Amino acid sequence: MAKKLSRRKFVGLSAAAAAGTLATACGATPTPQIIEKEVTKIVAGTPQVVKETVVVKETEVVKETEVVMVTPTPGPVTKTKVLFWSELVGSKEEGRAALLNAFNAASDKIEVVHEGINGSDETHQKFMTAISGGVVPDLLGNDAAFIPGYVDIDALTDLGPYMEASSTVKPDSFPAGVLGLCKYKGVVWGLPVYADTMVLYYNKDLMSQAGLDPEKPPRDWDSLREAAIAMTKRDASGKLEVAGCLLDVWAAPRIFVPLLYAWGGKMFNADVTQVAFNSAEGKEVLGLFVDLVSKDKVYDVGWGRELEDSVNEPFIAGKAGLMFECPAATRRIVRWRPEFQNWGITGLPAGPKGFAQTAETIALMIPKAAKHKDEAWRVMEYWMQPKVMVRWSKDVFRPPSTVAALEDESLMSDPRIGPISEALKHTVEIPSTPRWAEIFNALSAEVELAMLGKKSPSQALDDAAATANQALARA
Amino acid sequence: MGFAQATVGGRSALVVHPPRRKLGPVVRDKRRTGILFVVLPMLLFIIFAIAPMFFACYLSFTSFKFTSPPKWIGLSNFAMLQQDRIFKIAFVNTAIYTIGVVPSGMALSLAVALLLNQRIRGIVVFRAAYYLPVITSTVASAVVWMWMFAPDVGILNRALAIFGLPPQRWLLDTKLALPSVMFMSVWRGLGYSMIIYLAALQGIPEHLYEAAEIDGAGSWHKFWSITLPLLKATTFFIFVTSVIDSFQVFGSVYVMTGGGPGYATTTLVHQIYLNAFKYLRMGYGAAQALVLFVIIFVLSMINWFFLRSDVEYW
Amino acid sequence: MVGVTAPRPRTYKRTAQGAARWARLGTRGLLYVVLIVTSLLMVVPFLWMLSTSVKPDYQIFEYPPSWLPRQWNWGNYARAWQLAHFSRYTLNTAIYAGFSTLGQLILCSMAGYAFARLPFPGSNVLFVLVLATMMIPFQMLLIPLFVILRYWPLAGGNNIFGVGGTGLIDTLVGLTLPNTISAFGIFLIRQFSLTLPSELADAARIDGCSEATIFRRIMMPLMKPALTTLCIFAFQGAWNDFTWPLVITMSEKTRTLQLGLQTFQNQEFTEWGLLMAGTTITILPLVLIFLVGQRYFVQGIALTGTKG
Repeated sequence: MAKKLSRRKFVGLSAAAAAGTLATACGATPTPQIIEKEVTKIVAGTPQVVKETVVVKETEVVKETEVVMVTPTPGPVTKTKVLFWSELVGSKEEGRAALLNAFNAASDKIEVVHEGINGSDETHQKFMTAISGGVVPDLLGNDAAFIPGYVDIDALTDLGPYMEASSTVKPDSFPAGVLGLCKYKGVVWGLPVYADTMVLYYNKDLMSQAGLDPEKPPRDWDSLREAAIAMTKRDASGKLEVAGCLLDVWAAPRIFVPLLYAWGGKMFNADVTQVAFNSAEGKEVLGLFVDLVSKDKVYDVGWGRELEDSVNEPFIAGKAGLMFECPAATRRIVRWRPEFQNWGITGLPAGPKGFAQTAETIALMIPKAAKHKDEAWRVMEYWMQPKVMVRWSKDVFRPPSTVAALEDESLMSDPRIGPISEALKHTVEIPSTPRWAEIFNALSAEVELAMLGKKSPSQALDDAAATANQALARA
Repeated sequence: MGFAQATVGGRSALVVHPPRRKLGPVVRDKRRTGILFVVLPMLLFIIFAIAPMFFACYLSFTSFKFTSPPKWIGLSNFAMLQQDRIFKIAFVNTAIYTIGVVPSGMALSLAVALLLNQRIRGIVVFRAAYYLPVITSTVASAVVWMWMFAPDVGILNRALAIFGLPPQRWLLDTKLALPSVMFMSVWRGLGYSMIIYLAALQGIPEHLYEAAEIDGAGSWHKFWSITLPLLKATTFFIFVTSVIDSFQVFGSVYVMTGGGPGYATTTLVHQIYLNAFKYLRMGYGAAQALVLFVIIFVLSMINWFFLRSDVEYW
Repeated sequence: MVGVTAPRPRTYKRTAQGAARWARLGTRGLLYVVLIVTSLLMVVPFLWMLSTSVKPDYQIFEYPPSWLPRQWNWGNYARAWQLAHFSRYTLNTAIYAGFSTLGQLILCSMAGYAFARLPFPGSNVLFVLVLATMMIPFQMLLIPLFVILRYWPLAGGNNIFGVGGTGLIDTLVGLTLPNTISAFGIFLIRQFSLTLPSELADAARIDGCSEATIFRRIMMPLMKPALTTLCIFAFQGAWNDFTWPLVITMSEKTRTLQLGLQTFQNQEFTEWGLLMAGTTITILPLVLIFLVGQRYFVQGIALTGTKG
């Protein structure tokens, strides 16, 4: 899930000493813990699926790996080269490299040449610059939010005909809400590679300690408030020790949008010429966020932000009861504290109108001027195969985008992915607009100011709406 | 200039008029060599810098959608600019940033250059230390600085506590975020200007200082009467390039705060980047860039006028 | 500083000199302290980078902070080198930076000197134009530059009109050529040239030297510190460049180190050990170039008041 750059893991050191969290303190057992996981790794240039056994002792972590499956490296053959640009690097690097290597080995006609770019904005900039000069890749993997803009400048290929001709990839191979992310003006322009959505993480230990049932996370806002208040701990001087619920300024706008719908509001008016999030419902929702932080004091905005992506990240260190995050957080938990297993995921709390989730995804798109469209489509088809999608999904810790993969037993029974798939059943479809980036940035900035107490929620949303409407009005 | 050159080694008589009836061979040689020297650089420059610059200016009067040729729309982009409150905020931020960073950066780097121009053992190590922030990766610098600015555990707040002052939220505070980033920028840019000042200081002949000492001049007087005036050309350079760089600040701020909190640290080039690429409004972004260009140009020309250094010192 | 005065009784002179020497040592000691403390502040991120590159994962962001790794994880360097294809990319980056520096050294010094000392009609206007190009953000110049290189005649499959192929896109020539000239470099050399003494030039002229010879034999050697600075900046600018290589390269054969480093980081995740190891490898040449360049800075140490 794309985050505002201010939250990138430029992490610093330590939590407050008073909390004293090292892996061995704070209730973790002194006996060595053993965690097993299967992961795809690149070893000596070859992708392999390895089973890692991690033994956590007091001062060291000992890893043993056992190779489960080796994907062969492709031999030298002249094949059609498909040029693929994507932002699938970093945490998605190994999964993607393994997938593409497997494809290259399996195909005797096509070779995918991948260029990884860090950042969806940078990928977009590269694509835009290249297309101005008449140069395009054959396959582009970038945030689906860019699709309406690309379609407006006629840069993409309609995938409808390809799906019709295909026997494995059809519109109903995907949940409607997820495929809808790649649709604009009724046409499918890309295929989603996963379904990223905001979810609620909860710490079971802290819930038990607060007298709550660890197997029953809050499913509506009032219960969430109560749970958060019960789990919050501050020291004598008022400094936060345990946050009841983490809701940082980058996450707030992202849960604002789905919860707006859960409260009966909408993002846009009927013909998408004006925004409608500054309605009474929207102000109520934002008001709930602000109250949670400023009145109920379950969190201080920005607390622990510098510790993100480290062993001292509040939730990972066991110092946050609830957390609104996207599934990337699972990757971090597993990486920094694999022995921390007493946590769960559930969907966003329901509002008066029920549950609502919004999804984001990286879409695989074929530029209109691409030279090898059919071959690019083959790659996409391969990606959507259930086995491949499930493997990919496990590598990136996000729910898959295809119906078939979502029903996979090993995924659904995985407590880290199963609940997300469940939550995705409540996806709401938001009308696509090329102005989404501008609108969302305006919303984010104002929501941040409201959370920091610089503006009232009402004022913040009205200001955001003014900026957003201005953006929509200009062509 | 014509008059002065007519007096140097040329065959033209030392007369006031008629001025340029016939140019001496020196002047002709200078002209010829001058043109010869700039031909190749300017050719490359026209292709790779001047032409793109004019194209970018042209874009500001168009609506450009990347996949089709730019469409002329006259001043519409500039009309939109008038109502863009975020652009105005970015302008104010960038102006504050420049005013804060440029003078202090220049003064500090000059001070450091003077310090490091001594015959001290290990001077090269110290110079390298000051140069390191310039080349240290933005990521690593950002990590360490965000840690230093961290409200709970950062050393800045610890230092404040020692003096009994309340802790600040620094990068999370709408009023302090920009000054915090400015502080880091000064830290980062010090080494850059320092090297240039160091190079310039090498060119000041020792005999000037020795002469001044014999006359009984103290350190301050030496600095004020000899060093500073002789650094005029370099100071002009550093001032203009610092202003240009500061007005175009983007990456280093973005990496620390992403433009927030709210709009507190968004800068002009940040807005240009967002509009031109992310929002797919290349023409509008170009208009913003043109406004930025005009501001910088005017400032530089004013400075040139006041600090004209076509003076020879010997 | 003891001046020349009438002779004094020996004891008095010795004490005065002694006092002066202690004062000098005191100032010097203070100088060292200030330098060391401020230098530490300067290098903290660099040290953090080094430290992180050899630490095992679990130690990277712990509290209390530790600078020395408990297990030396040198493997990060090898892995980073391999995963980020450093062998190929180092070559590309070296070519890019090397030729950029060479180009700027020659072209910017000639043009800068000409603007300062060899006036011709229109040279001022031209110089202002050069300055002006610095005032447009590079983001705006990306697309025109790309288009110019794309339609470069007789390159990459293009015909004489520049159509048909991909021109200089994805070539090392295309990557380097725009960077062989720089407004910053021209401006720098021009300002330095203004401070050069003209007496030497006058004397050489009387001896019959041409302007070109004066430049080559007299002025350029005098400008060594400035030229060194130019080289350092040109090399570093190209070596650390990200946005331009990002848009102009399309394949392994032209990609540079900065692009290779991206493998380790995305918007939600950073492979700290590998990234820092990779970054350290990338920075080392820059440090070397700087240190080597310092040799040209030692000529003529100007005493600026605090006589050492």
